[in-house]
Amino acid sequence: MSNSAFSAAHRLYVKSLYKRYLKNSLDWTIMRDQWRAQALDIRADFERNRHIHDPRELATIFAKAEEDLAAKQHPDPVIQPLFPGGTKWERNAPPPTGPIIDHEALEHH
Amino acid sequence: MSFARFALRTASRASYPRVSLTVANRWSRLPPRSSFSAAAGLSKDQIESRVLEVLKGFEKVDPSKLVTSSRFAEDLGLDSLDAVEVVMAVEEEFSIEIPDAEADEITSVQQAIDYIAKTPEGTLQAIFTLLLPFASAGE
Repeated sequence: MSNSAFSAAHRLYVKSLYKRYLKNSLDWTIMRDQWRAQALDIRADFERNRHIHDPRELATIFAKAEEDLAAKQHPDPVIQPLFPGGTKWERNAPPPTGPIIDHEALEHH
Repeated sequence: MSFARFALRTASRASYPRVSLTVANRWSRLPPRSSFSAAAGLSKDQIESRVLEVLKGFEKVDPSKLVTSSRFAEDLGLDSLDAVEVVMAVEEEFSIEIPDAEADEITSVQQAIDYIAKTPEGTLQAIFTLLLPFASAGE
C-alpha cells in the first residue's frame, strides 16, 4: 500500500473519516462505557476494508461511508468551550493593550 | 475613522499572545498587562504526566515501553488508526480540538506534549475541567 501514489492523501483522508465517525458516535453516546462498544464496531468496519487497494472500489466505499455519516450526523455536536462554536469562543477576549491613539491630533481633524 | 480605529485595535489585539509565560525579547517592550493570564496555565511537567496518563489507558500500549521519547508507530506499535484514537483522547484530556493536518504530524509522545504546550487553549484546560464534570464521565 505504501508504494501507491495516493497513499499519503489517502491515509490522511481515512484518518479524518475515522475520526469523524468516532466523534459523531461520541456526540450521540456521551457515556464512555457505552460508547466504547460503538468505537470498536467502527474500528471493525475500517479493519474489514483494510486490504482493499482498488481505487474504484475504495471510491464507492468512501462515498457510501460519507453518505452513512451524513445521515446520522448529530445536530448539536459537542464542541470544546474555547473553540469555534463553543460556549466560550471569543468571550473574555483580552482588552486592547496597544498604544493609545490621539485622534484629535491626527491630520484628518 | 471609527472603522480605521476598529481595524487598528483588532489588529493590535490579535498580535498579543494569550499566554506568554516565556516572554521573548520582542515582547519585553510591551506593557506587562499583556501577559495577565499567564499564571493560569499548566506547566510542562503537568502536561507531560497527563499525556502519559492518557496513553497508559490504551490496552495496546505497553506501559513499560512508554516514555516521553517513544514514537507511536515504531516504539509503541500503534497503527495510524490507533494514532487517531490517541489524538482524540489527548484532545478530550485537554479540552482542545486538533485539526486533521496537525494531528497527522503528531507521531510521538513528545510531539503531543509540545503541541499542547504551544496551544493556549490546551494549557488553560484546568479551569474547564471543573466546569464540565460530565466530559470525563466513565473514563
